[in-house]
Amino acid sequence: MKEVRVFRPKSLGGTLRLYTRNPDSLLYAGGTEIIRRVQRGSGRVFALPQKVIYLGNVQELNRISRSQRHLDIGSALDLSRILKLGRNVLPPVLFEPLSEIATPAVRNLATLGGNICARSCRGDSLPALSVIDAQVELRTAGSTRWTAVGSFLNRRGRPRLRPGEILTRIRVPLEDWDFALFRKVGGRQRLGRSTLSFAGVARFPKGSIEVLHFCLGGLKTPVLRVPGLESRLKNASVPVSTKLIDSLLADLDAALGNEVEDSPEGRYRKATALRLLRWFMEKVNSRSLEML
Amino acid sequence: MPGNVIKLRFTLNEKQVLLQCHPGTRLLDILRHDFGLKGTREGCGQGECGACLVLMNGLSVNSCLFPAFALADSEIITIEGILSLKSFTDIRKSITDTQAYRCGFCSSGMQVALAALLLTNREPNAGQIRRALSGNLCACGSYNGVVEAVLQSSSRKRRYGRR
Repeated sequence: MKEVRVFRPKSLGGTLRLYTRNPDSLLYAGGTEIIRRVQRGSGRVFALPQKVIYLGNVQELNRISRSQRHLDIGSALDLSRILKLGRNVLPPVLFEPLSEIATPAVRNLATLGGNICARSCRGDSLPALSVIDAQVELRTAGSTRWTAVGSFLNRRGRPRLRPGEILTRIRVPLEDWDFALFRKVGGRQRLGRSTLSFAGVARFPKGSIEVLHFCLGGLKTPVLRVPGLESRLKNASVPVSTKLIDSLLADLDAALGNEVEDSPEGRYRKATALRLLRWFMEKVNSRSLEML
Repeated sequence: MPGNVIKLRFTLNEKQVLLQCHPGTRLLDILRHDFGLKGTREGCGQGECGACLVLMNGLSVNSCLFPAFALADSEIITIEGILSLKSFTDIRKSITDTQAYRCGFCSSGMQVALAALLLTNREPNAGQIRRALSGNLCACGSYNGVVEAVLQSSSRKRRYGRR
């Protein structure tokens, strides 16, 4: 049986120094994704790598703080504790995907940092975080930088982390939206190739769209936003005309050309993405009529 | 297994215990093999069926997904603890006073999930009970019976103030 050395740091500074000295270590917080990869069958021990850094005792990574403009969530904080803040504090577009992840018992272990970094979770919180322009804090022993969630993952879905860097915080902007929507279609395991998620938010205070963002998750690009299409809707009057919605869908259809495979699953995902955007725009229209 | 062993101190069913094991040992195996607590069952082994649920610091977690090294200083309550400890008397009445469970394989996991709910909410509604059970698979389909039983127990308490 392989020897496993487990480090259990208590401070963030200690964790970062430890990780710099042991860059081949596995960072372990909730572990719900990692553990599935290292399972060796029933009744056996997990096949862990030689060095593990356990983040569950690092206070800085396990807390949440709120200012007027944003919410800072520690990357090792479990999803249940984040959800306890409720729909009124968490943006509804983020509350929805977090409350739909796995089962209550798994949410008691799984962390937001893990959900962002794990490739199999691409359709969960990522599109919602991206659509509200959330940022992630990345720290090494000697540096700190912030980057947008949308650009944190490369095209293959791997985190863009420099050597010795750890995802430490997720900064969620607390803006008011007139309408927000999140939908995830399909399961994650056996039906994985047909999984797709959509997140959209819009603000239209005076009869015209001030901001409208939408994002698709689960395609070849981990989180797909098309700023060109979003900006075309800026200042468009609400309800948005059918003609504009149709031209928007035609442009999204073209943008999705390289994002899906030429297979039944790919065609299904493309058609579903277009239907979700149409549905979102129809919902924006009905909400705008309610607000009159 | 020299060099592979870690020493763990944690609370199991309100008793302090000390254990030596490999850091990658599953909590499920520790409970079943080291402590002989066979009420915690292994179903899917992937955190999806809920048969292996235990309470950790008052929250339900899948013991099949939990490695030993993360266990230190935590408080674990298994189904045996829920069914015997004095501190769970009230909760026990709500989750066991029923013939709702059928073959019984999933019952321990369901009872742990319900105990986790009732620790924070003594009079849950049907929706809250169903959400709490959303991580428990029951092939016999005993969900409606279990929800009904917990609701009846809550309404009895409201009506007669039984505790």
